[in-house]
Amino acid sequence: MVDNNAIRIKRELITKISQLAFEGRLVEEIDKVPIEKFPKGGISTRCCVYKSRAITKYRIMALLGFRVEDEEDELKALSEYAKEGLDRQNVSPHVLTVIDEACSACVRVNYFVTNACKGCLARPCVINCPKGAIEIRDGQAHINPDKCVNCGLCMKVCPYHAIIYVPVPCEDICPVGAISKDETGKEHIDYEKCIYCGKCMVVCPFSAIVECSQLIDVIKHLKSDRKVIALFAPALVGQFQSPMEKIAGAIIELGFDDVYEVALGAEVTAHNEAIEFKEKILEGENRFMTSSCCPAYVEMVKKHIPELKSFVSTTRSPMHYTAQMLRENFPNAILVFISPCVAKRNEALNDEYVDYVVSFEELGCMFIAKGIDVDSAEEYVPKQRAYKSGRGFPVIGGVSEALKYYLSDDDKQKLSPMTIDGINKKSINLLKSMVNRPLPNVNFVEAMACEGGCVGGPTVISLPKIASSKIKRWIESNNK
Amino acid sequence: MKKKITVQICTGTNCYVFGGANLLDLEKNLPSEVKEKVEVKGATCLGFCKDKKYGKAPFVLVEDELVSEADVHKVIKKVMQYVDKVVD
Repeated sequence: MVDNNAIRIKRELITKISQLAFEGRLVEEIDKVPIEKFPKGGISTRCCVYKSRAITKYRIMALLGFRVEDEEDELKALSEYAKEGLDRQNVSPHVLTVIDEACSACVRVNYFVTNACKGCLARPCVINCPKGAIEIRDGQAHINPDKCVNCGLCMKVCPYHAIIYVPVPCEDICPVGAISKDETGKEHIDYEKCIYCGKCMVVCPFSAIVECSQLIDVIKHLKSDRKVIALFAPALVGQFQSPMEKIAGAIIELGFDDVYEVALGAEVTAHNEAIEFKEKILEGENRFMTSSCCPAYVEMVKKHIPELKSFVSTTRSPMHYTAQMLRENFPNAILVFISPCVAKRNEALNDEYVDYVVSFEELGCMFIAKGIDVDSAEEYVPKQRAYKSGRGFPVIGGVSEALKYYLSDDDKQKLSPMTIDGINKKSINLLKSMVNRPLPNVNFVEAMACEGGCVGGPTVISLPKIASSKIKRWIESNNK
Repeated sequence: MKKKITVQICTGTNCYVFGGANLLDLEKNLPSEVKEKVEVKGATCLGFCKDKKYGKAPFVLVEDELVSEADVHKVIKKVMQYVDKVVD
Protein backbone atom coordinates (compact mmCIF):
# COMPACT_ATOMS: atom_id res chain seq x y z
CA MET A 1 0.00 0.00 0.00
CA VAL A 2 1.29 3.45 -0.82
CA ASP A 3 0.26 5.48 2.17
CA ASN A 4 3.49 7.38 2.53
CA ASN A 5 6.27 8.98 0.56
CA ALA A 6 8.89 6.37 1.47
CA ILE A 7 6.94 3.63 -0.31
CA ARG A 8 6.49 5.88 -3.35
CA ILE A 9 10.25 6.47 -3.62
CA LYS A 10 10.89 2.75 -3.26
CA ARG A 11 8.42 1.84 -6.00
CA GLU A 12 9.74 4.55 -8.33
CA LEU A 13 13.18 3.00 -8.02
CA ILE A 14 11.93 -0.56 -8.53
CA THR A 15 10.16 0.63 -11.69
CA LYS A 16 13.25 2.45 -12.95
CA ILE A 17 15.60 -0.49 -12.35
CA SER A 18 13.14 -2.90 -13.98
CA GLN A 19 12.85 -0.64 -17.01
CA LEU A 20 16.63 -0.42 -17.42
CA ALA A 21 16.97 -4.17 -16.95
CA PHE A 22 14.26 -4.97 -19.50
CA GLU A 23 15.79 -2.57 -22.00
CA GLY A 24 19.29 -3.95 -21.43
CA ARG A 25 20.65 -0.55 -20.33
CA LEU A 26 21.25 -1.39 -16.69
CA VAL A 27 25.06 -1.30 -16.63
CA GLU A 28 25.25 1.79 -18.87
CA GLU A 29 22.63 3.91 -17.14
CA ILE A 30 22.49 2.84 -13.51
CA ASP A 31 25.09 5.29 -12.20
CA LYS A 32 22.97 8.20 -13.45
CA VAL A 33 19.85 7.22 -11.54
CA PRO A 34 20.68 8.76 -8.13
CA ILE A 35 21.57 12.05 -9.82
CA GLU A 36 18.50 12.05 -12.05
CA LYS A 37 16.34 11.44 -8.98
CA PHE A 38 17.99 14.24 -7.03
CA PRO A 39 19.44 16.83 -9.42
CA LYS A 40 21.38 19.86 -8.19
CA GLY A 41 18.98 22.53 -7.05
CA GLY A 42 16.14 20.04 -6.87
CA ILE A 43 14.13 18.99 -3.87
CA SER A 44 15.86 16.75 -1.37
CA THR A 45 14.12 14.55 1.14
CA ARG A 46 17.16 14.74 3.43
CA CYS A 47 19.58 17.46 4.50
CA CYS A 48 20.82 17.96 0.93
CA VAL A 49 20.64 16.32 -2.50
CA TYR A 50 24.04 14.72 -1.93
CA LYS A 51 22.83 12.70 1.01
CA SER A 52 19.69 11.75 -0.89
CA ARG A 53 21.85 10.55 -3.77
CA ALA A 54 24.07 8.51 -1.44
CA ILE A 55 21.06 6.81 0.08
CA THR A 56 19.54 6.22 -3.35
CA LYS A 57 22.75 4.47 -4.33
CA TYR A 58 22.36 2.10 -1.40
CA ARG A 59 18.69 1.51 -2.22
CA ILE A 60 19.71 0.51 -5.73
CA MET A 61 22.46 -1.74 -4.35
CA ALA A 62 19.79 -3.68 -2.43
CA LEU A 63 17.55 -3.77 -5.52
CA LEU A 64 20.47 -5.30 -7.40
CA GLY A 65 20.58 -7.99 -4.72
CA PHE A 66 23.49 -6.78 -2.60
CA ARG A 67 23.61 -6.18 1.12
CA VAL A 68 24.56 -2.65 2.11
CA GLU A 69 26.48 -4.08 5.09
CA ASP A 70 28.79 -5.91 2.68
CA GLU A 71 30.06 -2.75 0.97
CA GLU A 72 33.87 -2.84 1.07
CA ASP A 73 34.84 -0.17 -1.41
CA GLU A 74 32.84 3.04 -1.34
CA LEU A 75 34.16 3.91 -4.77
CA LYS A 76 32.62 0.81 -6.33
CA ALA A 77 30.09 2.10 -8.81
CA LEU A 78 26.54 0.81 -9.19
CA SER A 79 27.41 -0.25 -12.73
CA GLU A 80 29.95 -2.68 -11.28
CA TYR A 81 27.36 -4.09 -8.92
CA ALA A 82 24.92 -4.36 -11.82
CA LYS A 83 27.45 -6.26 -13.89
CA GLU A 84 28.20 -8.65 -11.04
CA GLY A 85 24.49 -9.10 -10.45
CA LEU A 86 23.79 -9.92 -14.07
CA ASP A 87 26.71 -12.37 -14.17
CA ARG A 88 25.89 -14.29 -11.01
CA GLN A 89 24.47 -17.78 -11.33
CA ASN A 90 23.28 -18.13 -7.76
CA VAL A 91 20.75 -15.94 -6.13
CA SER A 92 21.82 -13.55 -3.36
CA PRO A 93 21.65 -15.52 -0.10
CA HIS A 94 20.35 -12.52 1.86
CA VAL A 95 16.81 -11.44 2.60
CA LEU A 96 17.03 -8.06 4.32
CA THR A 97 19.54 -5.26 4.58
CA VAL A 98 19.72 -2.10 6.67
CA ILE A 99 20.78 1.10 4.92
CA ASP A 100 22.80 2.63 7.72
CA GLU A 101 23.00 6.03 6.01
CA ALA A 102 19.23 6.18 5.96
CA CYS A 103 18.86 4.99 9.54
CA SER A 104 20.11 6.67 12.74
CA ALA A 105 17.44 9.33 12.80
CA CYS A 106 15.73 7.69 15.75
CA VAL A 107 16.15 8.42 19.42
CA ARG A 108 18.52 6.47 21.61
CA VAL A 109 16.39 7.07 24.65
CA ASN A 110 12.64 6.54 24.39
CA TYR A 111 11.71 9.24 26.93
CA PHE A 112 11.80 12.87 25.98
CA VAL A 113 11.20 15.98 28.07
CA THR A 114 9.00 18.42 26.16
CA ASN A 115 8.69 22.18 26.60
CA ALA A 116 5.72 21.59 28.87
CA CYS A 117 8.26 20.94 31.63
CA LYS A 118 8.09 23.71 34.21
CA GLY A 119 11.19 22.72 36.16
CA CYS A 120 8.89 22.48 39.16
CA LEU A 121 9.84 22.51 42.79
CA ALA A 122 8.65 18.95 43.42
CA ARG A 123 10.80 17.44 40.64
CA PRO A 124 9.41 13.92 40.98
CA CYS A 125 11.26 12.92 37.80
CA VAL A 126 14.66 13.68 39.37
CA ILE A 127 13.76 12.02 42.64
CA ASN A 128 12.18 8.88 41.17
CA CYS A 129 14.75 8.17 38.47
CA PRO A 130 16.52 5.02 39.68
CA LYS A 131 19.64 5.83 37.67
CA GLY A 132 20.04 9.49 38.52
CA ALA A 133 19.74 10.26 34.84
CA ILE A 134 17.72 13.47 35.12
CA GLU A 135 19.02 16.89 35.97
CA ILE A 136 17.50 20.34 35.81
CA ARG A 137 19.26 22.77 33.54
CA ASP A 138 17.99 26.20 32.47
CA GLY A 139 14.75 25.58 34.29
CA GLN A 140 13.88 22.30 32.58
CA ALA A 141 14.54 18.61 33.12
CA HIS A 142 17.07 16.87 30.88
CA ILE A 143 17.58 13.14 30.49
CA ASN A 144 21.16 11.95 30.23
CA PRO A 145 21.11 9.28 27.51
CA ASP A 146 24.21 7.60 28.91
CA LYS A 147 22.48 6.85 32.19
CA CYS A 148 18.82 6.35 31.13
CA VAL A 149 17.62 2.74 31.00
CA ASN A 150 14.22 3.47 29.41
CA CYS A 151 12.21 2.46 32.48
CA GLY A 152 9.61 5.19 31.96
CA LEU A 153 9.16 6.12 35.63
CA CYS A 154 9.80 9.81 34.92
CA MET A 155 6.93 9.89 32.46
CA LYS A 156 4.57 8.29 34.95
CA VAL A 157 5.37 10.68 37.79
CA CYS A 158 5.44 13.99 35.90
CA PRO A 159 2.43 16.03 37.07
CA TYR A 160 2.45 18.05 33.84
CA HIS A 161 2.60 15.08 31.45
CA ALA A 162 5.65 16.88 30.11
CA ILE A 163 7.64 13.70 29.47
CA ILE A 164 6.60 11.64 26.50
CA TYR A 165 7.41 8.20 25.13
CA VAL A 166 9.03 8.36 21.70
CA PRO A 167 9.08 4.96 20.05
CA VAL A 168 11.71 3.59 17.71
CA PRO A 169 9.25 2.20 15.16
CA CYS A 170 11.26 -0.82 14.02
CA GLU A 171 12.20 -1.88 17.55
CA ASP A 172 8.66 -1.25 18.71
CA ILE A 173 7.00 -3.42 16.07
CA CYS A 174 9.51 -6.28 15.95
CA PRO A 175 7.65 -9.09 17.72
CA VAL A 176 10.84 -10.94 18.68
CA GLY A 177 13.32 -8.23 19.69
CA ALA A 178 15.56 -8.93 16.72
CA ILE A 179 16.45 -5.34 15.85
CA SER A 180 18.50 -3.02 18.01
CA LYS A 181 21.02 -0.18 17.84
CA ASP A 182 24.77 -0.54 17.77
CA GLU A 183 27.07 1.85 19.61
CA THR A 184 26.68 4.46 16.85
CA GLY A 185 22.89 4.40 17.03
CA LYS A 186 22.33 2.49 13.78
CA GLU A 187 19.92 -0.42 13.76
CA HIS A 188 21.13 -3.97 13.23
CA ILE A 189 19.13 -7.12 12.65
CA ASP A 190 20.07 -10.17 14.66
CA TYR A 191 19.42 -13.03 12.27
CA GLU A 192 19.55 -15.56 15.10
CA LYS A 193 16.27 -13.98 16.20
CA CYS A 194 14.76 -12.50 13.01
CA ILE A 195 11.67 -14.31 11.66
CA TYR A 196 11.52 -12.30 8.40
CA CYS A 197 8.01 -11.03 9.04
CA GLY A 198 8.97 -7.76 7.34
CA LYS A 199 7.18 -5.56 9.85
CA CYS A 200 10.27 -3.40 10.48
CA MET A 201 10.62 -2.80 6.76
CA VAL A 202 7.04 -1.57 6.45
CA VAL A 203 7.07 0.61 9.52
CA CYS A 204 10.43 2.41 9.18
CA PRO A 205 9.57 6.04 8.30
CA PHE A 206 12.96 6.44 6.60
CA SER A 207 12.62 3.17 4.69
CA ALA A 208 16.04 2.18 5.97
CA ILE A 209 15.27 -1.54 6.03
CA VAL A 210 14.85 -3.06 2.60
CA GLU A 211 14.82 -6.42 0.87
CA CYS A 212 17.74 -7.80 -1.11
CA SER A 213 15.91 -8.11 -4.38
CA GLN A 214 16.18 -10.77 -7.08
CA LEU A 215 14.59 -8.48 -9.64
CA ILE A 216 17.46 -8.29 -12.13
CA ASP A 217 18.11 -12.03 -11.94
CA VAL A 218 14.50 -12.71 -12.88
CA ILE A 219 14.42 -10.10 -15.66
CA LYS A 220 17.64 -11.56 -17.05
CA HIS A 221 16.00 -14.97 -17.32
CA LEU A 222 12.80 -13.51 -18.76
CA LYS A 223 14.88 -12.16 -21.61
CA SER A 224 16.71 -15.45 -22.13
CA ASP A 225 15.60 -18.59 -23.97
CA ARG A 226 15.12 -20.50 -20.73
CA LYS A 227 11.57 -21.47 -19.82
CA VAL A 228 10.49 -19.28 -16.89
CA ILE A 229 7.35 -20.14 -14.94
CA ALA A 230 5.53 -17.85 -12.50
CA LEU A 231 3.85 -19.44 -9.47
CA PHE A 232 1.60 -16.89 -7.86
CA ALA A 233 0.42 -16.83 -4.26
CA PRO A 234 -3.40 -16.66 -4.25
CA ALA A 235 -3.27 -13.28 -2.46
CA LEU A 236 -2.14 -11.82 -5.80
CA VAL A 237 -5.70 -11.94 -7.10
CA GLY A 238 -6.59 -9.25 -4.54
CA GLN A 239 -3.80 -6.93 -5.66
CA PHE A 240 -5.41 -5.65 -8.85
CA GLN A 241 -8.98 -4.83 -9.73
CA SER A 242 -8.95 -7.04 -12.81
CA PRO A 243 -9.91 -10.73 -12.97
CA MET A 244 -7.28 -13.41 -12.27
CA GLU A 245 -7.07 -14.30 -15.98
CA LYS A 246 -6.07 -10.70 -16.82
CA ILE A 247 -3.40 -10.69 -14.10
CA ALA A 248 -2.07 -13.99 -15.44
CA GLY A 249 -2.13 -12.50 -18.95
CA ALA A 250 -0.12 -9.49 -17.78
CA ILE A 251 2.44 -11.87 -16.25
CA ILE A 252 2.73 -13.62 -19.62
CA GLU A 253 3.24 -10.21 -21.29
CA LEU A 254 6.22 -9.66 -18.97
CA GLY A 255 7.90 -12.60 -20.67
CA PHE A 256 7.01 -15.52 -18.42
CA ASP A 257 6.39 -18.70 -20.39
CA ASP A 258 3.65 -19.97 -18.12
CA VAL A 259 1.66 -19.17 -14.98
CA TYR A 260 0.48 -21.52 -12.25
CA GLU A 261 -1.63 -21.00 -9.15
CA VAL A 262 0.06 -21.79 -5.83
CA ALA A 263 -3.49 -22.54 -4.70
CA LEU A 264 -2.82 -25.93 -6.34
CA GLY A 265 -0.13 -26.65 -3.77
CA ALA A 266 -2.38 -25.25 -1.04
CA GLU A 267 -4.78 -28.12 -1.75
CA VAL A 268 -1.96 -30.60 -1.09
CA THR A 269 -1.11 -28.72 2.11
CA ALA A 270 -4.74 -28.80 3.28
CA HIS A 271 -5.10 -32.46 2.32
CA ASN A 272 -1.96 -33.48 4.25
CA GLU A 273 -2.92 -31.29 7.17
CA ALA A 274 -6.34 -32.95 7.38
CA ILE A 275 -4.78 -36.43 7.49
CA GLU A 276 -2.33 -35.31 10.15
CA PHE A 277 -5.10 -33.65 12.15
CA LYS A 278 -7.11 -36.88 12.15
CA GLU A 279 -4.10 -38.96 13.18
CA LYS A 280 -2.65 -36.70 15.84
CA ILE A 281 -5.70 -34.99 17.29
CA LEU A 282 -8.82 -37.01 16.62
CA GLU A 283 -7.18 -40.41 16.99
CA GLY A 284 -3.98 -39.48 18.79
CA GLU A 285 -2.96 -37.91 22.06
CA ASN A 286 -2.18 -34.34 21.01
CA ARG A 287 -4.51 -31.63 22.27
CA PHE A 288 -4.04 -29.30 19.32
CA MET A 289 -2.16 -28.75 16.08
CA THR A 290 -1.11 -25.54 14.35
CA SER A 291 -0.87 -24.71 10.67
CA SER A 292 2.54 -24.51 9.00
CA CYS A 293 1.97 -22.53 5.80
CA CYS A 294 3.09 -19.13 7.14
CA PRO A 295 6.91 -19.15 7.01
CA ALA A 296 7.32 -16.28 9.49
CA TYR A 297 5.24 -18.20 12.02
CA VAL A 298 7.25 -21.40 11.48
CA GLU A 299 10.48 -19.42 11.86
CA MET A 300 9.13 -17.81 15.03
CA VAL A 301 8.36 -21.20 16.56
CA LYS A 302 11.78 -22.55 15.58
CA LYS A 303 13.69 -19.60 17.03
CA HIS A 304 11.53 -18.50 19.94
CA ILE A 305 9.14 -21.25 21.11
CA PRO A 306 10.96 -24.50 20.28
CA GLU A 307 8.75 -26.33 22.75
CA LEU A 308 5.78 -25.60 20.45
CA LYS A 309 7.43 -27.25 17.47
CA SER A 310 5.86 -30.67 18.03
CA PHE A 311 2.43 -29.04 17.73
CA VAL A 312 3.15 -27.52 14.32
CA SER A 313 1.93 -29.48 11.32
CA THR A 314 4.75 -31.21 9.46
CA THR A 315 3.05 -30.42 6.15
CA ARG A 316 5.12 -28.39 3.71
CA SER A 317 3.86 -25.11 2.31
CA PRO A 318 1.67 -24.50 -0.76
CA MET A 319 4.66 -22.87 -2.49
CA HIS A 320 6.76 -25.98 -1.92
CA TYR A 321 4.21 -28.43 -3.29
CA THR A 322 3.44 -26.28 -6.32
CA ALA A 323 7.13 -25.92 -7.12
CA GLN A 324 7.70 -29.64 -6.61
CA MET A 325 4.92 -30.49 -9.06
CA LEU A 326 6.33 -28.06 -11.64
CA ARG A 327 9.90 -29.25 -11.16
CA GLU A 328 8.83 -32.82 -11.88
CA ASN A 329 7.12 -31.72 -15.09
CA PHE A 330 9.66 -29.10 -16.18
CA PRO A 331 13.07 -30.11 -14.78
CA ASN A 332 14.93 -27.29 -16.55
CA ALA A 333 12.50 -24.44 -16.07
CA ILE A 334 13.18 -21.46 -13.82
CA LEU A 335 10.53 -21.27 -11.12
CA VAL A 336 9.66 -17.80 -9.81
CA PHE A 337 7.36 -17.43 -6.84
CA ILE A 338 5.23 -14.26 -6.78
CA SER A 339 5.03 -13.37 -3.12
CA PRO A 340 3.22 -11.08 -0.72
CA CYS A 341 5.86 -11.44 1.94
CA VAL A 342 9.47 -11.27 3.03
CA ALA A 343 9.52 -14.58 4.90
CA LYS A 344 8.82 -16.48 1.70
CA ARG A 345 12.15 -15.18 0.36
CA ASN A 346 13.84 -16.93 3.24
CA GLU A 347 11.73 -20.05 2.79
CA ALA A 348 12.54 -20.10 -0.95
CA LEU A 349 16.29 -19.78 -0.27
CA ASN A 350 16.01 -23.03 1.65
CA ASP A 351 13.60 -24.73 -0.74
CA GLU A 352 15.02 -27.20 -3.21
CA TYR A 353 12.55 -26.34 -5.98
CA VAL A 354 11.96 -22.57 -6.01
CA ASP A 355 14.57 -20.55 -7.89
CA TYR A 356 13.52 -16.93 -7.35
CA VAL A 357 11.03 -14.76 -5.52
CA VAL A 358 9.42 -11.57 -6.82
CA SER A 359 7.28 -9.53 -4.45
CA PHE A 360 3.82 -8.21 -5.30
CA GLU A 361 5.04 -4.63 -5.44
CA GLU A 362 7.97 -5.65 -7.63
CA LEU A 363 5.58 -7.39 -10.00
CA GLY A 364 3.39 -4.27 -10.12
CA CYS A 365 6.43 -2.10 -10.86
CA MET A 366 7.60 -4.55 -13.55
CA PHE A 367 4.22 -4.15 -15.26
CA ILE A 368 4.62 -0.37 -15.22
CA ALA A 369 8.21 -0.62 -16.48
CA LYS A 370 7.01 -2.60 -19.47
CA GLY A 371 4.01 -0.37 -20.04
CA ILE A 372 1.57 -3.18 -19.26
CA ASP A 373 -1.88 -2.21 -18.01
CA VAL A 374 -3.31 -5.29 -16.29
CA ASP A 375 -6.86 -4.52 -17.28
CA SER A 376 -5.92 -4.24 -20.95
CA ALA A 377 -3.91 -7.47 -20.91
CA GLU A 378 -5.07 -10.42 -22.95
CA GLU A 379 -6.67 -13.00 -20.67
CA TYR A 380 -4.65 -16.11 -19.93
CA VAL A 381 -6.27 -19.13 -18.33
CA PRO A 382 -3.74 -21.17 -16.33
CA LYS A 383 -3.81 -24.75 -17.58
CA GLN A 384 -4.49 -26.24 -14.19
CA ARG A 385 -7.34 -24.77 -12.23
CA ALA A 386 -7.27 -24.74 -8.44
CA TYR A 387 -10.22 -25.43 -6.18
CA LYS A 388 -11.94 -23.16 -3.70
CA SER A 389 -10.09 -24.67 -0.74
CA GLY A 390 -6.64 -23.70 -1.98
CA ARG A 391 -7.65 -20.26 -3.17
CA GLY A 392 -8.94 -19.33 0.27
CA PHE A 393 -5.56 -19.63 2.04
CA PRO A 394 -4.52 -15.94 1.93
CA VAL A 395 -7.45 -14.61 3.96
CA ILE A 396 -7.40 -15.35 7.69
CA GLY A 397 -9.66 -18.31 8.43
CA GLY A 398 -9.09 -19.74 4.97
CA VAL A 399 -6.75 -22.52 6.08
CA SER A 400 -9.26 -23.80 8.63
CA GLU A 401 -11.97 -23.66 5.98
CA ALA A 402 -9.76 -25.60 3.56
CA LEU A 403 -9.18 -28.29 6.17
CA LYS A 404 -12.93 -28.94 6.28
CA TYR A 405 -12.96 -29.89 2.60
CA TYR A 406 -10.62 -32.75 3.38
CA LEU A 407 -12.27 -34.03 6.58
CA SER A 408 -15.23 -36.39 6.67
CA ASP A 409 -18.58 -34.92 7.76
CA ASP A 410 -18.13 -36.46 11.19
CA ASP A 411 -14.58 -35.21 11.66
CA LYS A 412 -15.53 -31.78 10.39
CA GLN A 413 -17.83 -31.39 13.38
CA LYS A 414 -14.91 -32.11 15.70
CA LEU A 415 -12.68 -29.40 14.26
CA SER A 416 -12.64 -26.36 16.50
CA PRO A 417 -10.23 -23.83 15.08
CA MET A 418 -8.91 -20.54 16.35
CA THR A 419 -6.80 -17.98 14.50
CA ILE A 420 -3.62 -16.15 15.41
CA ASP A 421 -4.41 -13.04 13.38
CA GLY A 422 -0.96 -11.47 13.28
CA ILE A 423 2.21 -12.27 15.19
CA ASN A 424 2.98 -9.74 17.88
CA LYS A 425 4.33 -9.84 21.42
CA LYS A 426 0.88 -10.64 22.78
CA SER A 427 0.09 -13.52 20.43
CA ILE A 428 3.57 -14.97 21.00
CA ASN A 429 2.85 -15.04 24.74
CA LEU A 430 -0.48 -16.73 24.10
CA LEU A 431 1.18 -19.39 21.95
CA LYS A 432 3.89 -19.92 24.60
CA SER A 433 1.29 -20.48 27.27
CA MET A 434 -0.60 -22.96 25.10
CA VAL A 435 2.27 -25.45 25.25
CA ASN A 436 1.53 -26.23 28.88
CA ARG A 437 -2.02 -24.98 29.11
CA PRO A 438 -3.85 -25.73 25.86
CA LEU A 439 -7.01 -23.71 25.45
CA PRO A 440 -10.21 -25.65 26.03
CA ASN A 441 -12.28 -26.08 22.85
CA VAL A 442 -9.37 -25.37 20.51
CA ASN A 443 -7.78 -28.21 18.57
CA PHE A 444 -6.51 -26.35 15.53
CA VAL A 445 -4.60 -23.07 15.42
CA GLU A 446 -4.34 -21.20 12.14
CA ALA A 447 -1.35 -18.90 12.60
CA MET A 448 -0.60 -15.95 10.33
CA ALA A 449 2.22 -13.47 10.89
CA CYS A 450 0.32 -10.69 9.10
CA GLU A 451 -2.99 -9.33 10.26
CA GLY A 452 -5.77 -10.51 8.00
CA GLY A 453 -3.54 -13.21 6.50
CA CYS A 454 -1.29 -12.93 3.44
CA VAL A 455 -3.47 -10.11 2.05
CA GLY A 456 -1.90 -8.01 4.82
CA GLY A 457 1.65 -8.94 3.76
CA PRO A 458 4.52 -6.44 3.78
CA THR A 459 4.70 -6.01 0.00
CA VAL A 460 1.02 -5.82 -0.90
CA ILE A 461 -0.45 -3.20 -3.22
CA SER A 462 -4.13 -3.26 -2.27
CA LEU A 463 -5.72 -2.40 1.04
CA PRO A 464 -6.10 -5.75 2.83
CA LYS A 465 -9.87 -5.31 3.21
CA ILE A 466 -10.33 -4.67 -0.49
CA ALA A 467 -8.03 -7.57 -1.41
CA SER A 468 -9.95 -9.92 0.91
CA SER A 469 -13.31 -9.11 -0.61
CA LYS A 470 -11.94 -9.44 -4.14
CA ILE A 471 -10.54 -12.88 -3.27
CA LYS A 472 -13.81 -13.93 -1.67
CA ARG A 473 -15.70 -12.90 -4.81
CA TRP A 474 -13.19 -14.84 -6.90
CA ILE A 475 -13.68 -17.96 -4.78
CA GLU A 476 -17.47 -17.64 -4.90
CA SER A 477 -17.45 -17.34 -8.67
CA ASN A 478 -15.52 -20.61 -8.74
CA ASN A 479 -17.98 -23.48 -8.82
CA LYS A 480 -15.68 -26.24 -7.75
CA MET B 1 -32.94 16.27 -10.04
CA LYS B 2 -29.76 16.71 -8.04
CA LYS B 3 -26.59 16.65 -10.03
CA LYS B 4 -23.83 14.70 -8.35
CA ILE B 5 -20.13 15.50 -8.39
CA THR B 6 -18.36 12.78 -10.31
CA VAL B 7 -15.07 11.50 -8.96
CA GLN B 8 -13.21 9.09 -11.22
CA ILE B 9 -10.34 7.16 -9.65
CA CYS B 10 -7.97 5.75 -12.23
CA THR B 11 -7.36 2.08 -11.53
CA GLY B 12 -4.87 1.60 -14.35
CA THR B 13 -1.84 -0.36 -13.18
CA ASN B 14 0.47 2.65 -12.82
CA CYS B 15 -2.04 4.58 -10.70
CA TYR B 16 -3.07 1.53 -8.71
CA VAL B 17 0.48 0.55 -7.73
CA PHE B 18 1.37 4.12 -6.81
CA GLY B 19 -1.49 4.61 -4.41
CA GLY B 20 -4.73 4.43 -6.41
CA ALA B 21 -5.36 1.27 -4.40
CA ASN B 22 -5.66 3.38 -1.27
CA LEU B 23 -8.25 5.69 -2.81
CA LEU B 24 -10.80 2.93 -3.21
CA ASP B 25 -12.21 3.57 0.22
CA LEU B 26 -12.48 7.30 -0.51
CA GLU B 27 -16.25 7.19 -0.17
CA LYS B 28 -15.95 6.10 3.42
CA ASN B 29 -13.72 9.07 4.17
CA LEU B 30 -16.00 11.71 2.69
CA PRO B 31 -17.65 14.01 5.23
CA SER B 32 -21.13 12.63 5.82
CA GLU B 33 -22.89 15.82 4.66
CA VAL B 34 -21.34 15.59 1.17
CA LYS B 35 -21.46 11.83 0.72
CA GLU B 36 -24.78 11.86 -1.12
CA LYS B 37 -23.66 14.66 -3.38
CA VAL B 38 -20.71 12.70 -4.72
CA GLU B 39 -20.48 9.74 -7.02
CA VAL B 40 -17.19 7.83 -6.79
CA LYS B 41 -16.29 5.58 -9.70
CA GLY B 42 -13.29 3.47 -10.55
CA ALA B 43 -12.06 4.07 -14.10
CA THR B 44 -9.88 2.01 -16.37
CA CYS B 45 -6.58 3.67 -17.30
CA LEU B 46 -7.32 7.33 -18.06
CA GLY B 47 -4.00 7.68 -19.89
CA PHE B 48 -2.50 10.56 -17.90
CA CYS B 49 0.50 8.40 -16.91
CA LYS B 50 1.62 8.40 -20.55
CA ASP B 51 2.60 12.08 -20.49
CA LYS B 52 4.91 13.57 -17.84
CA LYS B 53 3.27 16.98 -18.14
CA TYR B 54 0.31 15.77 -16.09
CA GLY B 55 2.53 14.98 -13.08
CA LYS B 56 2.74 11.72 -11.22
CA ALA B 57 0.30 8.88 -10.59
CA PRO B 58 -2.16 8.23 -9.06
CA PHE B 59 -4.59 10.39 -11.04
CA VAL B 60 -8.13 11.28 -10.08
CA LEU B 61 -10.65 13.31 -12.03
CA VAL B 62 -13.00 15.42 -9.96
CA GLU B 63 -15.56 16.44 -12.57
CA ASP B 64 -13.11 17.52 -15.30
CA GLU B 65 -10.34 18.70 -13.01
CA LEU B 66 -7.27 16.51 -12.72
CA VAL B 67 -5.68 15.71 -9.37
CA SER B 68 -2.19 14.21 -9.68
CA GLU B 69 -0.31 12.38 -6.92
CA ALA B 70 -3.76 12.04 -5.49
CA ASP B 71 -4.41 11.02 -1.93
CA VAL B 72 -7.62 10.96 0.06
CA HIS B 73 -7.08 14.45 1.49
CA LYS B 74 -6.23 16.07 -1.82
CA VAL B 75 -9.30 14.58 -3.47
CA ILE B 76 -11.64 15.57 -0.65
CA LYS B 77 -10.28 19.11 -0.76
CA LYS B 78 -11.03 19.29 -4.48
CA VAL B 79 -14.48 17.78 -3.97
CA MET B 80 -15.27 20.39 -1.33
CA GLN B 81 -14.55 23.15 -3.85
CA TYR B 82 -17.35 21.73 -5.98
CA VAL B 83 -19.81 21.00 -3.22
CA ASP B 84 -21.00 24.59 -2.99
CA LYS B 85 -21.58 24.73 -6.72
CA VAL B 86 -23.96 21.76 -6.76
CA VAL B 87 -27.47 22.96 -7.41
CA ASP B 88 -29.97 21.42 -5.04
